[in-house]
Amino acid sequence: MKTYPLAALGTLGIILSACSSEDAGNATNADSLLTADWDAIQDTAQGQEVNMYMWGGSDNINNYLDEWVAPRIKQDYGIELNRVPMNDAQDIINQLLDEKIAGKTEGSMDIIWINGENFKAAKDNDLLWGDFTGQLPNFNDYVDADAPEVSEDFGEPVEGLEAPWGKAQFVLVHDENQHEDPPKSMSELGDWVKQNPGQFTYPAPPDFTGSAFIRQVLYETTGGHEQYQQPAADIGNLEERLEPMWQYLNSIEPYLWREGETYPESLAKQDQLYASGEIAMTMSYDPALAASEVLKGRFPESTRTYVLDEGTLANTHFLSIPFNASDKAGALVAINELMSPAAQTAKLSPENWGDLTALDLEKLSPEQQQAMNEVDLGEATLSIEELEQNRLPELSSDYIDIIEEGWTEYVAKE
Amino acid sequence: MKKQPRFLSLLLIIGLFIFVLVPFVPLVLSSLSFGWRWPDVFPQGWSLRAWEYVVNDVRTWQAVGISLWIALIVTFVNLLLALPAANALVRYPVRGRWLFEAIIFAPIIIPPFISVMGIHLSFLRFGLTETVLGVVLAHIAPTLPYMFRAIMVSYQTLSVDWEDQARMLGAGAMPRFFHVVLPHLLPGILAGASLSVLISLSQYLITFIIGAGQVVTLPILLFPFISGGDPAIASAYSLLYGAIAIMALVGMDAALKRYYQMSRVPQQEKGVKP
Amino acid sequence: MSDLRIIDIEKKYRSAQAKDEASFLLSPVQLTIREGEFFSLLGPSGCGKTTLLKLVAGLLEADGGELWFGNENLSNVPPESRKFAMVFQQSLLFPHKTIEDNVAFGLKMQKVGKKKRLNAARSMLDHVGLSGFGRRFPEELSGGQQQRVALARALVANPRVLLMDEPFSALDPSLREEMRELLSQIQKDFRVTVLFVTHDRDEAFALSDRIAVMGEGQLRQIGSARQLYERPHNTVVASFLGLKNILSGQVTNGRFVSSDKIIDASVHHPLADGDYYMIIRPESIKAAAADQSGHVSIRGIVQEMKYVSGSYNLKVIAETQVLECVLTPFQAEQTAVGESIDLLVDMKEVWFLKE
Repeated sequence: MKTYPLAALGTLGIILSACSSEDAGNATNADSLLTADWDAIQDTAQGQEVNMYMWGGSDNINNYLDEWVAPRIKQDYGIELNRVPMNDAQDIINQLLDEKIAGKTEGSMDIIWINGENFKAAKDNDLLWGDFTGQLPNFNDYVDADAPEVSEDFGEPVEGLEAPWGKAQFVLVHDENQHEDPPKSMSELGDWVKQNPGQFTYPAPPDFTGSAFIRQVLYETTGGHEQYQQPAADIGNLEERLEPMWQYLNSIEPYLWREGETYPESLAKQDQLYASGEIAMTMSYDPALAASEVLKGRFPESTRTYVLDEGTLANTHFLSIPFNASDKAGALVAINELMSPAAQTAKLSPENWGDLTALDLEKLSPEQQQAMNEVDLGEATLSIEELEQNRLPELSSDYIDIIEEGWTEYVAKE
Repeated sequence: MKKQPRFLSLLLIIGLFIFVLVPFVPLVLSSLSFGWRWPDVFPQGWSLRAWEYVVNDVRTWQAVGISLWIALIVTFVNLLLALPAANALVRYPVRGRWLFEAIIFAPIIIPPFISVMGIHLSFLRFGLTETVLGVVLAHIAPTLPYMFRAIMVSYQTLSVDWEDQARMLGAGAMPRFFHVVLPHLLPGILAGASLSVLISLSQYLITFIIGAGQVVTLPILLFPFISGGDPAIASAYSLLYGAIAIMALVGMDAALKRYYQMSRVPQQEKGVKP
Repeated sequence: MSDLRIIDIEKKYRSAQAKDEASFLLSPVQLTIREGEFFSLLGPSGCGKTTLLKLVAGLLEADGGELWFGNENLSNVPPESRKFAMVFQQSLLFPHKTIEDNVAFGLKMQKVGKKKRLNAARSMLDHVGLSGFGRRFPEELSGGQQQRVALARALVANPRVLLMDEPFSALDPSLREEMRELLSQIQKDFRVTVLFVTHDRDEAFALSDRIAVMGEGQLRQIGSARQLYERPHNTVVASFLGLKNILSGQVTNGRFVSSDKIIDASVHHPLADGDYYMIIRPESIKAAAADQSGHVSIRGIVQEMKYVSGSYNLKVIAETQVLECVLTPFQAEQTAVGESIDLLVDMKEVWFLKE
C-alpha cells in the first residue's frame, strides 16, 4: 500500500533530477557577477524572474512591492519581480539550510529579507552568496558604508553579504489627550508607573518588541550601550552588571497592568490593550506603525510616538541573495532599484509603508532630500531628523538569549 | 400531537443555524471594520480596505485555483489508492492486517510536521519541492487515512452476495465494479472525499515546507496576516477560505449525487410517479 | 441432450491436509440433472447443499471434478460466462436501479439494446404479476414483490439453468405458498432447468420432479418425492423426511419381531433373515381393535393429541416405543390423552431397511 507513492516518488525523482542537471552550469559563472561591469549585469538581468521571499503579513508592504516596485522594475529593466509571502524569516533560513544539505544548486529564492539573528544564522551556515553590495551603484552613491548601522547587523559584521533596505527604531506610543507629558527616561518611567498603577506593561519576551524594551532598560540602568559592543563571552562579570536591570524591572512590576502577575504575550495583545484604553502606553520597533494604526482606525487619533532622551535602539533591515539563487543578476538589479532614492522615498510614505530610509540623507541631492522631507509621515510619527539624532546601536545577538532567559529567571518567576 | 415534533425540529434547525453561523458574524464584522476596539460590541466605522486588498490581489485568485486544483488531485489519487487497499483489507485474509492499517493511519497520530521534515530533504533531492506534484504527494499522507477509513467502512457493509448476484447475471469485473460496488461505496467515497478536500485545503505547514513559497495556496496567504496582527485582512481571507471550502463541498456533493441520480433514472423523466 | 452433469465435484475444508472423510465440505458428487427438470437439494443446514449449488454456479472453486452442460465443459468457465442465473435467499435487487433496470440487467450485460431489453423486462414483470411496477425502486416494494422481481431478473436472459438458494425462506409462510405456485407455473411456462436448494421437505415435495437428500456433505438418496418418502434408503433419510416410527428388530423365516416385542408379524415381501428396521408411515396406522388380515394390532396409551388441519396427530406409547399416527377426527374423538388405544398397522404399507 504504502510502497505505491514511494515507488512513484522514486521514478519521478529520477526523471526530475535528470532534467535539472542540464542547466546546472549557471551557478559557476554567476560568481563572475561579483566582479562584472554593471552594464553587463543589467544585460544579464534582462528577462529574469526574480523571487523575493519576505514576510507577507502587511497589506501595506505587500502593496508597495506589488504595485509600486514590481511594475517599475518590469518597465525599466525587464525583470519580473515576484513577491513570495512568508510567515517568518526564520522559515527562509530553515529552507535554505535544507537546500544546502540536499545540495540544491538552482534555488528559487533570489532575494531574501532578513536581519539580526537570521542574518547571523545564514552567515554562519554559508547560506549567502557573497560580498555583492559594492556592485550596486545606489549603495555606493547613497549609503554610508562605514556607519555602524550599515556595517554591522546586531553586532554581526555585514561584510557586503546584505544590502541595507530600511531602518527601524524603537519608539514609545502614548495618547496625547490622556498624558501630555510621558516619561522620557527609565527613571521617569519608574516614577510614572507608581503614579499611574496598572497603566503600563510590556510584552513578555521572547516577543521581539518586549525583548527590545528590556534592552532599552539595560542601556539606561547599567551605564550605557558602549560596554556591550563586545561579545557577551568577553565580559567576565556580566551577571553582576545585569543586576540593576533586574532590580529595576522587579521594582516596577507591582505597578504594572494586572500588578505584573501576567504580561501580554505579544505586541499584538499589548496594542489591543492600548487600543481599548486599558493601558496608557504601548511601544513599537516600527516608528510608523502607530501612524498606520491610526489610519486604520485602531488607535485613537491623538496617539503620538516619542523617543527617550538618551535615545532608543535602532536597527537596519537588509536584503540579501542566497548562495543558490538562480537569477543573481536580476536580484542585483532589483536590490539596487529598491535602494534608489525614488523607491526609498515612496517607501517612507505611510500610505505605502512608512519605513525609514536606509540611505544617508547627506549623500542625496538637495531635490532628493526635499522629496524625502516632504513626505507626510503622519502626526503620530516623529520626523526623520529627530529619530536619527536619538539612535542607539543594537547589541550583538548573543546578549539577547542571555537577557531573555534571565528575564524568565529573575522577573517572571519572582 | 403532531405539532410537537415540528416545533422541536424547528428549534433544532434554529439552534444549528446559530451554531454554524454565529462564529462567522465576528469574522464578517472584523473584515469590514474600521477601528474596532475591545469593549465595543460593534465596530465604530466601516471600511472595505480588507476586502479590496483580498479581492484585488491577483494572488488571491491564483491561490484559490491552486488550492482547489491540489485538493482535487489529492482526492482523486486518494480514491485510487484507498479503493484497492480497502478492498484487499476487507475482502481477503491479509497476514499482518493490523500492520497495514497502522501504516495507513499513522499520519493521523504522528504530527505531520515531523514526517514532513523528513520528507523535505528527500523531496529536495528528487526535485519535488516547489512543485504542485510535490505538494500533492505530501498532502496524501494526512488525507489518505480518512479516505481509506470511509471507504473501508462502506466496503464492510457490502456483502459479497451482491457481487455474486451481478456475476450470476453475466457481469464481468468492470461492470460489477461500476454497477454494484461503486454505487454502494458512493456515500463513503463522498464522506472520504469531503474530508480529503477539506484537509488538503487547510494544510499550511506541509504546503509551506514542500511548496517553499512557490506553491501558493490560500493558507499560505492567510497565515502571515494572522500572525502579523491584521485581523481585518485575516478575517477577509478566512471568510473567503470558508466560502471556497463550502463551495467545494457542495459542488462535489452535487456532482456525485448527480452521477448517482443519473444512474438511478437513466430514461426520460416523464411518466407517472408511482 | 442439454443435461447438467456434475461429475465427482468435491470441495475440501481450506485447512484440511489429510484425506480423511471429515476434511470434505462436499464429498465427490455425481449427479445428472435433466433438461427442463426441477431438481431439489434437500437437507439440514450445514449438509453441503449450498456448497454444491455454489460449485455449480462457479462462485466457489471446486477442488476436483467436472461440470458439463450438454457437450460443453464448464469446469473452468467463470460464473459470469456460464449463462446460469441464480436467485438468492435475499432478493439482492440493486437499490439504485429501477425495477425494470434491475430486471434488464442481465440483458444489458449481454449488450442487448436498451429498447429491446426494457421490453423484455416489462413482459417478464407481467409474468411475475408485477406489471406497472417497472419505474419504482426496490425499496418501495414488499419482500414478496422483491423476490418476484429477483425471479424475473434471473429468467429474463433465458438462463440454461436457474439456481435457487432457499429463495423463499425469508418470506412469510403464506407468501411462500404463493411463490411456490408462481415458480411452479413459470418453470412449466419457460421449461427452464431448475436446481433448487431447500431445507423444507414440503417445499421440495411440492415443487420437485426429483430430489436429492443430502447430509454431512454427501448425497444420501436421489428420487421422486414419493420414492423418497415411501422407500427411504436409510434411517437418516427417513428421519429427515419426518418418518419417526422406526422400529429395530429381526426377520426370521419371513416373520418380523421387533426388539421390544410389540410387533410380531409376517412380512409381505420376501426378505432374507437378519436385523432390520421397520418404518411405519403415520398414515398407515389406523385406530381399530378388530383384527384384519395383513394387519398387526398394537395396544398403547395416548400420550399427546394435536389437531392439524382436518386430522389429529397422535403420539402413542407402546411399551417403550413411541408411535406417531394420523387419525380422522371421528376416530380421535373416541379417545383422550392418558387412555389406552388399539392401533392397526397395515403390513403392506411398512418398509424394511437392512441394518
